[in-house]
Amino acid sequence: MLSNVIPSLVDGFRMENLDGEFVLLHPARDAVFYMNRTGALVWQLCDGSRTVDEILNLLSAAYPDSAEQIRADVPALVHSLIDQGILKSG
Amino acid sequence: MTDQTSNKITRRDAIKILAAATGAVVLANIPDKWTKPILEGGVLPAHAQTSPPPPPPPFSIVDCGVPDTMCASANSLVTITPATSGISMRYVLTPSNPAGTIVFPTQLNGTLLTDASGVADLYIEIQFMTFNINDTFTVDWSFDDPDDGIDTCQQVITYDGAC
Repeated sequence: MLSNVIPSLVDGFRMENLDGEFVLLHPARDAVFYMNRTGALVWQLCDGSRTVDEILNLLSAAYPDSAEQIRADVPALVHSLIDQGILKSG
Repeated sequence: MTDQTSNKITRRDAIKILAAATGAVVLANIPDKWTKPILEGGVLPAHAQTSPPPPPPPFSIVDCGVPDTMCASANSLVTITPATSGISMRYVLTPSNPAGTIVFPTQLNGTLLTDASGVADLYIEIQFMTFNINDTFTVDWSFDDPDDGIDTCQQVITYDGAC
């Protein structure tokens, strides 16, 4: 379960905002990822200072109409980001 | 628009926290509505990756002779380094007077192999009566295979009529 995991950023990635589209780059790894705005938002929140549960609560409060979807989307994204080596789980 | 409150945090506070947490990149781009997050991509394809420059070709041209004169025949020599036999060198022979008759080579554009000294030798023979004094024969040398080398060299031979 990811609830208590504290995801944090892997060194070397940097986010570029290209006219509203977000590109996550890791030049040393020749890695590039495209993220939409909500994906970029979640990535930014995974800074090692809060658990996945806290991120869920924060986003659910910000988007109360989508709270249920957020509870499904965010853990899946965090899981994927960890799998891709973009985030590390603390 | 009124804030909806949750048990622990108001929407307004949540937005403030998001803005503070996300910094400059996302600050102005906190989405108005939640949409399913998208993550696409991965490792760049090989052709897009930064790669070290290719190694230089193994051979280079030392020289192909200084300007020379001839009457009925001449040789244009190109020398490569390191001296290696069997390297295909391309020549392009261009007479200034296309009306004259060149006996040899039969093709103005062709290839010759280097010998063990790294020399390719183009023998040129003309019907000298068909040329005028100071007509020139330009020989352009290059490697037939760019993987062997990329150097080029040019020699100009002038018909002097001293036969």
